[in-house]
Amino acid sequence: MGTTSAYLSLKIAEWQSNLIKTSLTPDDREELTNHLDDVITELTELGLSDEEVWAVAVKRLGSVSAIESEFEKVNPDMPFRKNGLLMVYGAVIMLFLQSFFIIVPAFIFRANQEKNTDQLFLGIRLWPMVFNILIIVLISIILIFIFKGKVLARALSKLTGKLNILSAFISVVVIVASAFFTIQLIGLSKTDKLHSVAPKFKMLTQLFYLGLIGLIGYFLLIGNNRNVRTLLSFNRKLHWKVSLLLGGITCLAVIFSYTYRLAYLPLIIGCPLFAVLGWMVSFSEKKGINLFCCQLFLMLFLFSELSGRYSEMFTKYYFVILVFLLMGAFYQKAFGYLSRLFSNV
Amino acid sequence: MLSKELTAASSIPIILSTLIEGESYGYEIIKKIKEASNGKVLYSDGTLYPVLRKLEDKELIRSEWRIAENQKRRRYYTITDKGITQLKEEKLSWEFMNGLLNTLWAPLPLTSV
Repeated sequence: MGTTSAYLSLKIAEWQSNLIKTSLTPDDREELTNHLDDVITELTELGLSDEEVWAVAVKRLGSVSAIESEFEKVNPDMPFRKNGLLMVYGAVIMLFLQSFFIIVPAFIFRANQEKNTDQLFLGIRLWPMVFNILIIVLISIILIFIFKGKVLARALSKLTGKLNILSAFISVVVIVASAFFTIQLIGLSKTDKLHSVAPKFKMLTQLFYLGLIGLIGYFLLIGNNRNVRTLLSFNRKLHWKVSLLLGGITCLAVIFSYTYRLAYLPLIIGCPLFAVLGWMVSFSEKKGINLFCCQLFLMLFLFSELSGRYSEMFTKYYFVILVFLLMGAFYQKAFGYLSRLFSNV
Repeated sequence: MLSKELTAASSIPIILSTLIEGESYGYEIIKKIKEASNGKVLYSDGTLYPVLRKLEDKELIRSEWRIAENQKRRRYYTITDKGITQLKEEKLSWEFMNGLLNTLWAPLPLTSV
């Protein structure tokens, strides 16, 4: 709107700020603003004054409350999305802080104690100093919250608007790292002599943390920064970054499943999950790139030889899973071809 | 002027019909409806978009953001095959209703409106 007068620009900005408080998604707001721009251009060309243009344009679009009540019928879960995102971020920040201040130092201390009885750093005993520093840092953070709470709250509230791929990746990394150190620190397998509780405990913890990762995936799916209204529309708009994230999470599930003493469990878990991913990608525009990104983590895991002595077995698993991914990707085409074939017969 | 109820009930076939000849965007859809009805069918422009969302959820239309000729992002809507089928069904229903009403109100004189 290069030709919009200062009066109209101000009015549009006011109108937009009222829309932000509603249940409209950013896409909805952009589309409505474009519509308002078009109406204003049309009315300005008729030679109306700015005040008249604004009065007519707003009347034509309808009041913000009328627009909102109509949109609420199609976006009824908007407040839930915003609060849900805040909840996920809260959980991730909590896990991060807990790991940083308590679990990781305790884990390293314990691992260190098993080797050495005492360590010195510049003539001072190391571990009491480390914990003293952590106490001071924690007190400083609490003080910052007390005195600069408003600024921090404002910064945090900006997070509620969206869950982008980068923050989702960071969240997944925090959860996985926190899960690893927590489980190692608890070290239940050392105390469980009969080895009857430890496997159940492992399953419980893995389900818990994978559930948390799943929650992030869910909020990414319905994330309000993308126009994701149904699973099919989400599939159509899949791009490489989302494929990478979904593939990464699925790859984690496959790797975790290997820690159970159940033959072929990585295949039982991985094959259907990757087939579904392939099916989802088959709706997207850049199928090839998305398919590649889906399996990238699994491929990297394999070629980096992180699987160690199991690498040969994982190579076989990888190719079987790849076949399922492709089967999922070609399911639609094959189904369409067969149904045409039979309808002709 | 048409009643609000009739305008609301006919909004889906009307909006789908504006997309038969090709893709369009919100402002253009409203303009087409106004022109075709000589200004008798008037939607509040802002309430068109929730209807478009509903149609997209039902996969009767598809939307895509593109850069328009004015160099701004614009959302274009296209009717899907499912939308065309739905529109054909709607057309049969409305033709049936039209025929029914024509039969039933044939004795009514039109001068008393």
